Amino acid sequence: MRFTRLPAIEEPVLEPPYAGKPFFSATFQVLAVPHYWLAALHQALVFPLTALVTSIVWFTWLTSAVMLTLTPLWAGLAPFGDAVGPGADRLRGWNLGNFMAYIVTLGERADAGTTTATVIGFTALGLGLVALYPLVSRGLVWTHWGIDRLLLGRFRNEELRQELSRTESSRVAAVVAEDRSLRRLERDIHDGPQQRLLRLQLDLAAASRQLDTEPAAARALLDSSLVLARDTADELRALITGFAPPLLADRGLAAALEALAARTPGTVETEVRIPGPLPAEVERGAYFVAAKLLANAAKHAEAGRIRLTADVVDEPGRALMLSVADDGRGGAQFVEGHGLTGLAERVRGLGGAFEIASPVGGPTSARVTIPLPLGG
Amino acid sequence: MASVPAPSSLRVILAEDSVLLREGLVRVLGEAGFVPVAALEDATGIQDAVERHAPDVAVLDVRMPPTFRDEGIQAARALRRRFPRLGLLLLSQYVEATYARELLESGEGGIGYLLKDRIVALDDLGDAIRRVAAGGTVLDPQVVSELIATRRDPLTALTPRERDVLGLMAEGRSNSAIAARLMIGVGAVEKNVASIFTKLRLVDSGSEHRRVLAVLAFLQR
Repeated sequence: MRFTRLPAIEEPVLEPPYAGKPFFSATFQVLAVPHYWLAALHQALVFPLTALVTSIVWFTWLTSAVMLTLTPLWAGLAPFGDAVGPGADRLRGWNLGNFMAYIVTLGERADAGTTTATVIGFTALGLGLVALYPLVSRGLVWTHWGIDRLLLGRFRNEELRQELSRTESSRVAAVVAEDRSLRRLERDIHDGPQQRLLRLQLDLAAASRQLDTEPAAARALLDSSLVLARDTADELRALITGFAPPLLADRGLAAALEALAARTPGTVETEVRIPGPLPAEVERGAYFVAAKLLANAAKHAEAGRIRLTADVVDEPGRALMLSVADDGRGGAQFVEGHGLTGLAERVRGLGGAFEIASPVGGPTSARVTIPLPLGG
Repeated sequence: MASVPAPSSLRVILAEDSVLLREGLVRVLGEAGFVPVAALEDATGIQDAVERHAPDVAVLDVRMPPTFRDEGIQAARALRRRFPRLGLLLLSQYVEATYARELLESGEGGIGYLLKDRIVALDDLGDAIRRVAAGGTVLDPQVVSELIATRRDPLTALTPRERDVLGLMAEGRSNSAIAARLMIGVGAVEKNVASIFTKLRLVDSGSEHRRVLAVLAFLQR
């Protein structure tokens, strides 16, 4: 099978039958696994039958091809013209060659012209069979491969399950990342705006009580309430901008990346080629990764020049490629709790890949690939 | 000076989707001596409404139905084409330098772009509406300060006073307004402006609008 260059048949995923199971279920559980039954069926019945049938086909085809191609030879050996005796006479000399000669000459009754035509026809037929032989042989191998795959290979749902467990791990990463940012948002709202609004109610209620008796104190409270309300609005705005940058929501990734680059201190060259809107989660993810990478480059790497590129590529699969390179001092590392780990997690959550090369002394270059749905 | 209601009683049309804010704005505009001629809940009918009510200024929210993206910016650009003399004031929860640039480039008429928070200060709101009605430019200080803050070269060539003047210029303030704000003479402001333009190699075209654009372009590069 290995020489056929057909795709390898994936082995079924079998759980270790005995591991940590009680004696009976360890013994009998095997009976419940369809793969074992199918293997037995294959071994006892299907394989011998298939082998028999295919070998018969193969042998018949090959012999017919050879015999027919060699028809001129048999025709030459035919003893026609003389010795038209009783059949018993010639029986002695009967072998494969004579048999063919007999057929070619239509039982020796044909004249020379008809015989020549028959010889040519048979030879052509033989050559045809020879020419088709590779196809037949391939077909037979396919038959074996197909049957084996059906009985011995993974079931379709097992392939799906494998695929699923790969997706699962990226989904878990996404959930973890999302959960973490939601918790942070909740804490930020609780510590900031929520406390300020409470204090605001407190102050306004006090001002209302003091309005008639101590107008000056009430006015002071109202003034400070105004400041408090403004601070709350500022804080909420900062929170929301950090969570969902308005330009990204309004104009999409390309515009948001350009604005991001313009906002980043230092010289940021951009090359953004994103045709049309991408899925919202990809745009958000890509934006945050770019923002973090640009901030790192500007803050930690002391980079003089930063280059941001974003591209949608079609090979090997449709994907968004994002890269941030700087000429700074490098040394960026994956450390638990460091921003890079979170970035990688976020990218993995989108089913993408995150690579960074940052030797001490620089330069640093980070590359993010996020797969995109086809035609999306 | 700005707290005195304008005797001309400028007519203002309003588009804002939040009822809470729309009612508040109508009240505040009336309080400031303006005439609110219509208050719409989105920008779809704004062209006809402007045609019918002939306001001096349109106050627009940036994010409005149906998509809650940049409807206000789009509406402002459409209004600018059809009513070149209409003053436009955009209000938003966020200010984006990108939008500021787009609005300024949309035409020569009066244009303003402010954080919604500014409506709390009645004087500031009234001042902005009057400047926009008069064909002036009003840019939120936050846009300007953000642009200045993220510059790699923090404008070290300029003196602190010149940096202040630059910021106020970018907000769209006239020389006399800058003078009043910084409590210096108009002559001193003019000297500072000339010095800034020389140091930054900008060309002062004279028009206030162009001046803001030139300064913004410089700050964004």
